[in-house]
Amino acid sequence: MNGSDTTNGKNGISALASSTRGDRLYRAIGRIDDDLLAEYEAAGVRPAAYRGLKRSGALAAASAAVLLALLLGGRLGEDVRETEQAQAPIVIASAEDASVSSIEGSYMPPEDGSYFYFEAVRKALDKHAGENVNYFVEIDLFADGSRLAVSDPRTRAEVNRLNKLGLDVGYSTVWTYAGTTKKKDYVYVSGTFTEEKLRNFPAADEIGYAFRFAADKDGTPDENDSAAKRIKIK
Amino acid sequence: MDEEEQRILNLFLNKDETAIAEAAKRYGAYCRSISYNILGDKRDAEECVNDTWLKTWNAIPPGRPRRLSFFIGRIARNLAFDRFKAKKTQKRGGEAQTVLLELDACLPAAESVEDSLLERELARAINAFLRTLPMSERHLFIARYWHGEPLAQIAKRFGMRENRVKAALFRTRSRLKIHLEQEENPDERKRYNER
Repeated sequence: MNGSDTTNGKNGISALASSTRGDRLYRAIGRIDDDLLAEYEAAGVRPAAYRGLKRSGALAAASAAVLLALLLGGRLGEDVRETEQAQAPIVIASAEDASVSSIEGSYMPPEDGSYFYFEAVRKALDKHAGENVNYFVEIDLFADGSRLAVSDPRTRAEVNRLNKLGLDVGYSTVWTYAGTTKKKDYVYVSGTFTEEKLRNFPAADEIGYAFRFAADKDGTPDENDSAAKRIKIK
Repeated sequence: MDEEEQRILNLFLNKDETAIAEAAKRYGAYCRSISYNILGDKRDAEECVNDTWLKTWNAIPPGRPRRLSFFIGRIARNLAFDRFKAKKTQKRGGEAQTVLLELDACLPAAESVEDSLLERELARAINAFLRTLPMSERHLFIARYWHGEPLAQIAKRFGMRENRVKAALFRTRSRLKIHLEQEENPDERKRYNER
């Protein structure tokens, strides 16, 4: 099924006769096979978000709902009232699917200005889409393809920037091994986000982000769920 | 198609009122980026995205896409391109004007070719051509000519210098032109292959 079959009124001979060669080729390229597009998407890190265009998921959904209400003479009011019945959100901080480990292997660093979710986070987002749920995640920060240490000034600056945007971001700890038997704390950048905030993350142009569920070295999830358990870094 | 995509598709197929809101939530940023690349104007892009949901609503059913995301992406791309053509204002255009100029030289100028290669045939030929390319070149082509991404952005994403991206795309376009000429004239292709 090709989207242009049903949406482009300019297909066919009349359109070809009236358009330039570049136009025709451009429209034909719109029909590139799904498997080639899927291969392309699977191969790369998600393109940088178009921050200037971003709207919140809630706003987009509300806008779409208005469109549909106009289309159907719908019952928008009831739906809005339902969603306004706020309850304390459940916090998800670890993989719910046992087949998805909290500890995940190597990965391509995200480009500056872009972000991606580890599989466990992505699955949780998909599973709980639209639910009253918060996500407590570890945020790996990158610049120019290199991971930034927590002590890096750019990390501090980014955490401050996100805080100023009203996001619940800070520092937390899990333990890791020091040598073969001793344990030591490992500090990481953490955040508690709604689905909407996570899906429309306000990435900085010069930083790349990877979101994962934090876990101790043995895979035990970090169940800190708010700034209350965060540590302070001087 | 993953479970979530299938779920949203089912909402459309069942004419469930939540389909558009769910699609907007999942594919809104994707469609905005496609539209913005073509139009280079936030408001126009946003209007295209809004139109995209209604087009999708009207198209499914009867349409039953294998991949909802690409189906919706194509709709956004077509709507944005139609809007771009309608406006005919190069100043407000995004990458589309440049992309079109680059593509213009790929199709042979002969009238016979223009008349005979209908869009569907053209699409088939392009798909066949893309499958002959190394993956990296295919991805550059899709980034530039399907998604309409600016060269600088492609260079950044693929970790290449911009002039290398340009050169690679130029080579691909040249090969595409030869491929399309051969599609038009199988005898020519035979002669070419026998060389």
